[in-house]
Amino acid sequence: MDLKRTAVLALAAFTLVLSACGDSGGGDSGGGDDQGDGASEYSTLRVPGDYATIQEAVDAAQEGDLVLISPGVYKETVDVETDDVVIRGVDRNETILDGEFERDNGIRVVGANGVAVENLTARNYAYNGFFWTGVDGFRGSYLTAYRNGDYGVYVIDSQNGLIEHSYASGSPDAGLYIGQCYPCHMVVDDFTSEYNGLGYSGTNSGGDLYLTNSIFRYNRVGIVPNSGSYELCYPERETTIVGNTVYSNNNPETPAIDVALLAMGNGILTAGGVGNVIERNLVYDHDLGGIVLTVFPEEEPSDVIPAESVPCDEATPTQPPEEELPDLLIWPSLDNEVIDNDVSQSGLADLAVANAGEGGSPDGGNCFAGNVFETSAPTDLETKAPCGGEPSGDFNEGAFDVMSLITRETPPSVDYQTAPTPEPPELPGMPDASDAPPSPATDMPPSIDVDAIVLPERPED
Amino acid sequence: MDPARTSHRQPRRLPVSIGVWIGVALVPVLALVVRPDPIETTDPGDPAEPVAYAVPNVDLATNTARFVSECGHSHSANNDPILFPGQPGESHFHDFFGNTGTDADSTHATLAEGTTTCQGAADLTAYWAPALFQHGEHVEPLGVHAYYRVAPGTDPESVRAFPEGLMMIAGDATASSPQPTEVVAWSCDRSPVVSAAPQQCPKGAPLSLRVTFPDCWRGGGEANLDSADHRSHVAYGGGEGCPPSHPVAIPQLTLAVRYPIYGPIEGLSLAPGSLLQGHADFFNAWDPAKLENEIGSCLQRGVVCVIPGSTGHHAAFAEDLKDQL
Repeated sequence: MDLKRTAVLALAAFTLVLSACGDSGGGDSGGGDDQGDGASEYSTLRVPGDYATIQEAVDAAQEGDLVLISPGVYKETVDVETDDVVIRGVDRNETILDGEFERDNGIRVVGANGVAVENLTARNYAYNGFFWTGVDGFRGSYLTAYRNGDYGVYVIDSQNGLIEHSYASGSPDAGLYIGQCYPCHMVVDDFTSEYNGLGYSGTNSGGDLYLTNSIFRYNRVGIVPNSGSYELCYPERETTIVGNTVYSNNNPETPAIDVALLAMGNGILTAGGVGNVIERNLVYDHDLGGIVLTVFPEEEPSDVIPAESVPCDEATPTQPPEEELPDLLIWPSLDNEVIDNDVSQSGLADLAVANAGEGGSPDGGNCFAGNVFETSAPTDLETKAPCGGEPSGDFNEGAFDVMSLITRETPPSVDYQTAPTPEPPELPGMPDASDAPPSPATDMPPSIDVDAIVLPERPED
Repeated sequence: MDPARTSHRQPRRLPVSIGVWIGVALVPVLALVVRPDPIETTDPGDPAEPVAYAVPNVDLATNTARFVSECGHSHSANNDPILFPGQPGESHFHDFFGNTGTDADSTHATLAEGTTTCQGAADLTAYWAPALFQHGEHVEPLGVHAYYRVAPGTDPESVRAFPEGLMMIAGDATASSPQPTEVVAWSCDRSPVVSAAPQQCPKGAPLSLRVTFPDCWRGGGEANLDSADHRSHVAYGGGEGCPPSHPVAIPQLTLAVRYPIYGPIEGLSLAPGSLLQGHADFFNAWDPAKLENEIGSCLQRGVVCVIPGSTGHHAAFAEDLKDQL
């Protein structure tokens, strides 16, 4: 424990004493039981035992405290503004926050660092189930988010985090979104995203960002890192996508934003993504492409493509004169590595690169090696765009028809409130949820051994 | 991949500690408490000369801290509860958004008990704008995006909630020449390119009328929720914070009314008669606790709380791209 941390705990304890002496509101003497064993001082604030609502408990919590929520349906929206608080459900499947299609977010962490949220369900929110914005340090574990109006789990303008053992379904945008960070310093591990518009969306994110050991299925489209000037810190770059199972993302019955309609029927699709590594993923059963590196067309952009790749906190919009803003900005996919994936059953091509003439070269610096696949666009893609070698050959031969994405008609969005999103299955909860001490997200993300991740086995269903 | 990688904590981008936040926030509150209201509540002020407007803050993508209401079109009628209260049918034709019960008799009390077309149920505000016509046909709007941000030049900590029932009008329904685009502008969806006249928009970016409201209030409680001329109780800070006459900083609301109009601009007119007469109205009926919360959580802490989505014009977008690629 460092000095700063000790001081914080001392202050927290002091405040608790004050609170116990002087606080008569809330009907509870400061709330919770003090785990004063010296080494790991924290208070447990129980809902509804000590506090009637989650928000009241969160507001009362000091840094390092645990808000522990009993099974039940909580019809509230919770904002977290205190650093290093841990919010935990006793039972992942039975501790449920319900927005009743009216409240905006289940749990929203606003500029509070080190907050961990775990072992909870959030459903029926008008915006997002779980939401971190403007934070340094976060963790979401054993979360279930379903039937939410924008995203299941939404992380923007944040860094140093971990999302693990979590599940999202039934959102028109993405089950999981990570946006506007570079370098992100984040890990996503063991996430299942299904029945959403997009399984994963990562707009203008990347840099030390790992998407691993996760399942993306039954969405309109699976994994979609993309660039765009409509949010800050473009382009999307340097996301490592490894060891994921991505299949049957052709679902016409989900809610879906426009991009999900546009990109429907693809497994992993970088839309203007740069320098990503896509490795050892199992990808199958897609109407269009398995792994597709393509453009993101942005109409009426706010900026032009920046000349240099710089961290978010150094990036400033170029804001060129109006006359230099194009009507249509084409973000090409560049310098991505697609290696050792197993890709099959794709309607148009298992592997594809299609930059619509943008990107400066036919291959756009993208490379393909060691993949198991049958079809590619253009043909013989691993020969034409090898990793570690020079591109060669005819990139027009059997080229991926970008127009086929754009001009086809896709089934319209289904309202998220009424879409046939299955109720989530019983999902494994956090071990020892009632008794484990809180672990704030102060040292995130954990290190990850990417080399140890193997190509997934094909699931039985 | 980098096997040697460890966690790299970066300095927080916005290092605002709670303690500092509370301390700073108290200062303007105290100032308000001790400051006698220098303005006679019956004084109509000098409304006709709003010399300072919002400074250019048109780029909806890059002004980060915000919360946003996304509200569908509710109904349209010849009503205006600010200009023609209790006089149904007297106004030019308006499109209403947000509160579904807005009519000529609306009060804060009736609005607060109503329902809303906004995505979040806490925003019961009545928003309205003059109806747009094309070749004489009413164009049904797609809806509005109501951006709430900190006005440029304003200390975020000083921003206070709109008082319950605050009424504001922005833009001039009688204008006979182009209005400043800082107040009334046309754009293609979120593009930073704005103009005094409607633009020809591609199909992925619908034509939008963007109206920015005053960001300073006179204060003084219920007597100043409106004013005789409906203008002088609020003012634009003009990029320099709020003037002494209107010392209370409020969120800067930019209302973007989005229309399914793409391509050539032909035969368009606004209800008062001219395309120059863009304006919009705001009658605050936010759930007060929620509004306080959004200001405290999003604006004062400097974070982005909502980015409006893009839904509903995919077919047009696809058609447009087909032409351009």
